[in-house]
Amino acid sequence: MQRILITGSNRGIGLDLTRRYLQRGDTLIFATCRQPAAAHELNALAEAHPGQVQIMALDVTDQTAIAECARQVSAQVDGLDVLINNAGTYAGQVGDADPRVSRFGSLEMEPMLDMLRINTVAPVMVAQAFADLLRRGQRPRLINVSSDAGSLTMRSGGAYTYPASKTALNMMTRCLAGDFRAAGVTVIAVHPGFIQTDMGGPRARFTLDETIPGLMQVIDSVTLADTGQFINWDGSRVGW
Amino acid sequence: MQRVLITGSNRGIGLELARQYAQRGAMVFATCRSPQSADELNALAHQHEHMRVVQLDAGDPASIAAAADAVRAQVDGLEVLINNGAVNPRDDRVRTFGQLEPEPILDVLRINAIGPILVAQAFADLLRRGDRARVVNISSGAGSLTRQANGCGYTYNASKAALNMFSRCLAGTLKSDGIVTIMLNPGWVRTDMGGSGANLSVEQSAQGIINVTEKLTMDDNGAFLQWDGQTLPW
Repeated sequence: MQRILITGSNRGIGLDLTRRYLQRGDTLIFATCRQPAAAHELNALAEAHPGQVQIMALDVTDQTAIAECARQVSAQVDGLDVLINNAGTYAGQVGDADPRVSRFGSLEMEPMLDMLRINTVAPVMVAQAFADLLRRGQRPRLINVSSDAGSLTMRSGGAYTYPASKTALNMMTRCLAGDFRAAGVTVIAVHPGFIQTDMGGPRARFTLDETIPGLMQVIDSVTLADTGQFINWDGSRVGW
Repeated sequence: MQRVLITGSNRGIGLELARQYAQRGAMVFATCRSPQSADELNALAHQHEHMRVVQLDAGDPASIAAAADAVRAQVDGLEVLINNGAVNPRDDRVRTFGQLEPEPILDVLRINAIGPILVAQAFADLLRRGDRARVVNISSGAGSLTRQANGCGYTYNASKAALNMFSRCLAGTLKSDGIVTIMLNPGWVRTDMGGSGANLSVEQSAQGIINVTEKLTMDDNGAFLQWDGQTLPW
């Protein structure tokens, strides 16, 4: 049985990953989000799959909450096979983000820091708190959901803080890959595709159906030989 | 007269850049967080009629705004902005897995990654009125993702990678104003940050940075260069 923890699983990519892993079966999902009581779709999934999914409160910017979540997971399993750092923010929809993080002339320090706190720093803090469980997992993998918006190669201009938060997350992924290598934990950054979610908006290029099965295949197949890499949902490499 | 603003001018590369630009006859706005304790910079400014020491803490938006007001009161344009100020704390809470903490990490990101962009934003009107203006964001080889294949030190690396992306965005925004934006690795320099084992003197690095800066054209916009003019991999 595969033991998987997913952050931000109340909607979008996190919810879809949870649904598909449950359909596959032989899986125990720790589905985390900030407000479980308000996560109606996630709660419905849990009711339909009794015993296969644990919904847990986790605000990834709260160190106490991260520690408590790790403690609760440790009480139930002796290892974690896949940790998916999926939670992230765009501060609005693609193309219509808060100008205080996205528009030159309107940029402001505190909203920009808040975005880096969620998108760049929190995944590292979650990885740190769950490191012992990951080291004891089966073919353990740490998956940081990044974005090709953070690709310096592909971008020469953009919406400032979101891309920078993902470039920085990619660097954190490189650092984590170095520190986890000896323990046999594979660490990668992934681009899930530009998807029609609350974040991507209705004009995004893909539906969840089109890219998430591919993303799951990437997560299934990565090995230590891939550690530290930035991988697209279709298995190709994304340029730094 | 060329008008140049350099952040983090109280020591290291910033101090040497201020010295060399002043020797070239530029008007230099040399900024630092604590002018009252910047003894070497104050002594340098004393020798150069056209050097001004200005308080600027890139982590503090109010300080950035006050610095921009102070400069605007003296000149109507800027030709060169060098975002040189940065920190690299020897603190396990920002660099050692197992001991990482969010607040110290965010303090570094505030100064190294966001600060330079907010400085550029505050001085954008002066740069637009400058003659062939350029923005040089001092990055680092530590910000090259390609080069960190065997692990890295987390926050400093990530802050420079983020600065590179912010700089790419800035390059896109300011291009239509004819302003060239680059990120520049100063090399491994014998400074308080680089340590005594580094291979470059601060004079060599600053000379290289000025050479690169003075030769920039719009073809270089958005590039990641180093002190000797070579391009670095992302």
